[in-house]
Amino acid sequence: MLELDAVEVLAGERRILGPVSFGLPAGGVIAIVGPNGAGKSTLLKVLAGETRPMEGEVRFQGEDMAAFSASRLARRRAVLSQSLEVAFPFTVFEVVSLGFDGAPRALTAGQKAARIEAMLERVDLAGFGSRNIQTLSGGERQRAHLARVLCQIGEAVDEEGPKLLLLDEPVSSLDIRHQVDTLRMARDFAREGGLVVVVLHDLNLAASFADRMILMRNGRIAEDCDPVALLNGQTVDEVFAIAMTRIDRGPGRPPVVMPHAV
Amino acid sequence: MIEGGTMVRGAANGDRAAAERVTLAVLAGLLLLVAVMAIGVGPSGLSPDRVVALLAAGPGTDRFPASESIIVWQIRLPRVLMGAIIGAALAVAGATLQGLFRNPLADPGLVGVSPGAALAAVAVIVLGNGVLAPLVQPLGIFALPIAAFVGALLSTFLLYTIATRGGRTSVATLLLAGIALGAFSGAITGFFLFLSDDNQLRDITFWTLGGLGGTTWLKLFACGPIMLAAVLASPVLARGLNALTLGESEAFHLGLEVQRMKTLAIVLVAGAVGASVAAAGIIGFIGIIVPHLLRLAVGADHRFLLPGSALLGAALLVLADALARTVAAPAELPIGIITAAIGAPFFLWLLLRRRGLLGV
Repeated sequence: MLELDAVEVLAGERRILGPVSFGLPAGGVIAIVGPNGAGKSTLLKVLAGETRPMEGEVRFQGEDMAAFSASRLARRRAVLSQSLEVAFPFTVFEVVSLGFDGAPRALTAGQKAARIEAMLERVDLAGFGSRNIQTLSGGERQRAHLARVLCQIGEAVDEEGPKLLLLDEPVSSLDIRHQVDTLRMARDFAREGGLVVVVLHDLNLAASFADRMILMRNGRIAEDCDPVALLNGQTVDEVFAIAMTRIDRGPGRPPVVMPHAV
Repeated sequence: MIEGGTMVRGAANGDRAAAERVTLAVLAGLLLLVAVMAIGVGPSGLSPDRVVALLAAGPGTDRFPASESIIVWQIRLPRVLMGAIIGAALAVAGATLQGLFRNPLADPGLVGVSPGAALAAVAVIVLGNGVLAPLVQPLGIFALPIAAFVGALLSTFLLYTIATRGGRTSVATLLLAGIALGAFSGAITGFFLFLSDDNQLRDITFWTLGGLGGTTWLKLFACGPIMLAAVLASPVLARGLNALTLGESEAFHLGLEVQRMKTLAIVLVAGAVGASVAAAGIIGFIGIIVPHLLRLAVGADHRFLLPGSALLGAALLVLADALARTVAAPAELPIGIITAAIGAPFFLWLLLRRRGLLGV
């Protein structure tokens, strides 16, 4: 559904991504992990159609991604970015409703309101609709934006095919229960036939929810495999430059990893 | 009407659309009331029903004394219409810039639009009989408005060119370059002030504080359509400005052609502010206070904020002009003094009340 072919991104003279090549079929959760500055967010921007690669090609559902207009792209993929700031005192309801705004859908105001309220309940923000979003805590705001993104993307699959959900550190401000809730929603989206690409820092959380993990280092892919193999291998220790202790959880399950020095 | 907006604020689910519609209707009514009142006040006062009757009778009627018909149709109506259009244009320009910069403090003065217009106008006042005479003399009374308009457009174009690289406009660069260009324009304007004689200084002072004196139908037809077009086109930007509230990347993620929208917004602001400065000099405060009031009282959704700003800005400026004509009659105060004098305390009161510092 999403193919990268020798994609490179440069910032001035410096290559910050690539060359990177891989294909992602629909129906999975792909976790991107790696140290700070490894190019994870840049890769996500390329997948979002926001950053055009200087070299190589991104193909989304068989078409060159550069050929998609912003609004057509918005109907096929949604992005939860790291930015949680809202410049003006919008209510939570109004922010979530922006998900319907960019790519107009044939819904009545009543249908939209019902969906927004259902979505707010799903991200555990029932009753928050009338609150000024600027007065919410970081975690609450992150969940409100998640509700917006889920409203934008709608069903995981429609008549034109599966859709793409991109999440850039979606749990960075969340408590442990909401971290799990959020990643469950991402996994549900993938189970329904969509594709989820999520950037995560927590290796154990990533391994628990991902079908496949891409470990990045210096703009390149260091490892691209299933979570069990990734966490059992030594590449993780090398890429993060820290020795890991592994706690085995039985066959077929990824081990819990933690820094050896702790 | 602001209080009314607060009372009907938002259904319980946070959808403020109903409250916004009520507020727009109230603001439209307010604008009509203020306009009729403003046409009535002046050296020869007319009651509101008399004003309505004179307006209904049309120009050149013989059912009323000719003097009254002329006062209403030739003097006060074009002035009130000009005030309304300028107020609407400035408020919409302010709301648009604030949305574009994602900053509630952005103001036409900041992006160099007003300073550029002011510089061109002051140059015409000071040098109009000197080195610029060949350019200025043939234009007659239109030299000043044309210069202001051209100054606004040139400075906006310059800033836009500076801030745009590879088809992408950096809003941060635009803001910083605007501040630099504004300071530079201010320095040159100051130099012209230094060169000017007493009469020119008086002209410059009145012009920089703004005023609607001497508005004619001709001037209205010259400057009005640009402002009116900007105001009427502004709702096209509403969804884009809403999406931009989350950031430029996020607006793109939501399906917005961000660059096209930024270009349109900048052209709209340059047209609105340039034409308003050309028509009536620099009138401060409307562009910053009107959107603020509406956000505080009702909501920030640009689908409401842009038309709401147009209506409230129009009403506020017509009211300010009526006061400017009457408080020191027969003399006339610069309108900028009035807008700041009634706007600023009210604004502060709203801020304090919102923060609970007054205990109400």
